[in-house]
Amino acid sequence: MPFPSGQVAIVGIYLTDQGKLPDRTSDSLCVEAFKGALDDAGLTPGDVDAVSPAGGLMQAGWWAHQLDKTIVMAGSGAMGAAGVTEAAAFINAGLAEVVVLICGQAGSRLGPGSQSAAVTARSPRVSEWNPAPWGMFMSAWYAQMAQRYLHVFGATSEQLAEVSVTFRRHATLNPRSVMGVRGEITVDDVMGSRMIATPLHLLECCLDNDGGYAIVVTSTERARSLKKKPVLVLGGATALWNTPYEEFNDEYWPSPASVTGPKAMAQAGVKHDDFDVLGIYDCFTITVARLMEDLGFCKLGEGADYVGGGRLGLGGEFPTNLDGGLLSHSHNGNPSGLHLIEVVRQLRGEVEPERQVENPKIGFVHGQGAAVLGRHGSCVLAID
Amino acid sequence: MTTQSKPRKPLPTPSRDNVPFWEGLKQREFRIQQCSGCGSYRWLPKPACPKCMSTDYAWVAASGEGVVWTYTTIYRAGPAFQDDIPFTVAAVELKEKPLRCLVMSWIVDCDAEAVYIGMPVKVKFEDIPGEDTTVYKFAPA
Repeated sequence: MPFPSGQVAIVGIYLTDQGKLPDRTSDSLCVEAFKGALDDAGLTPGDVDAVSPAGGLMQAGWWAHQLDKTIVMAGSGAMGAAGVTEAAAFINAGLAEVVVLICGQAGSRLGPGSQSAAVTARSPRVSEWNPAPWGMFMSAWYAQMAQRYLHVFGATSEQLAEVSVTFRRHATLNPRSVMGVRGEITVDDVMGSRMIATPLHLLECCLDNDGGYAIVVTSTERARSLKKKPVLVLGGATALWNTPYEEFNDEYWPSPASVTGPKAMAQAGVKHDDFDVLGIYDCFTITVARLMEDLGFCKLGEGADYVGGGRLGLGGEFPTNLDGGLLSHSHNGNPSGLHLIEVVRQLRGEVEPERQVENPKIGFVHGQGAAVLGRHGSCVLAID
Repeated sequence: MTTQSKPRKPLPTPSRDNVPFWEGLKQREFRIQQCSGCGSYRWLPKPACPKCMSTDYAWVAASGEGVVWTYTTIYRAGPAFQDDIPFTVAAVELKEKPLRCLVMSWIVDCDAEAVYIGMPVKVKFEDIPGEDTTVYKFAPA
């Protein structure tokens, strides 16, 4: 059965403030985002029959209580391209009509600073193959991938640093980004920032902040009568390769992006050159280089070179992460929806003129999560 | 320096399925599963072979020898690791080349910054004081 290309649309989006939000809770951010995204769509809570919260099943139950009705959990809790793909499948199957993806985080952090400092008589226990006993955390995990990548392909950290430089420039054009106020940075600034886990420097690692967002998806038929011009989902795919450990033997270099990217593009009947704007998951600099390879923008081993030279910058061949990305805009726990929201706003032509791509028609969004390889999702989005 | 004044490093919770692995460490063996159906070695331990899905397997003592496939030297870590910075966590490819996965562990007994890809290493064992758990690390071979 074919993907319902063009039959499902994104009709509402909302971003709360991002950054340090000491007065906010995750729940209050989620509710603000939910109501904001519905208002953006011209819908009311009464129109919603399905949710897909980043918190998964327990959070979906919380929403049923909040909305005081039975609802459909229309997805696995994936956000971004994977979540929209799942929502499209539910809508196309007639299992849901209006799906809201919801994510909000306040007061928790992913980095090693959040690990327990409690002094206990016995050692704390974690699951059997959790890498925490080795002092590992997400940055160190990606650092191992980056180390191998630089070794095998003869790439340099300076090449990867271009990703941080480009996305910071975009952040300076986004008044709501966390890092924009700090101004532009250079490759030397990235290389001179403190080492977190070799070869990744501080400025090659994403932010770790509070914030919320929501995305409303419905049928294109219904979308036509709503407030904003619908952003059509022309293609969508999701796949995962994921363990609590690490699995990147030589033969496993390709991430699930090498499946989801080509699949989504084939569904949409488009090629790379058709894209006017991109949203590419950028938890670390290496992530972008590897994704550009696996998504077919360039070949394996070419990514580090490919991401330089202004190619991903505003005015470049593939303007990417124009909000500043996870590196300089925001990373709020489960942030893959942020890339999707920026591409939707670009296609609608509603961002600040300084960072607006001129008259974009087709965008591509790729998100991932949970692990170095992890769960991936790709979407091709378009506006009439 | 007593361990009681500082946060202790987390330890794994052995699964019932993998008791032979954790017991093996106490006996100074690094055991991996060998599929009785197709002969493949595998890591991490799993109930079935990823290649042929046979649930018949034997625990065999691996050589414990391997090479560093990749690594990272960590300069920022959680409270339990502050005294260890910098330390190096490697993904070691065992000589037996088990299916699917590399063995993640510390490289010890050398300068943290001296580790390199391709470095020959050998497993070593560490009994954790006050805990019924032995962990594995690697050191230059």
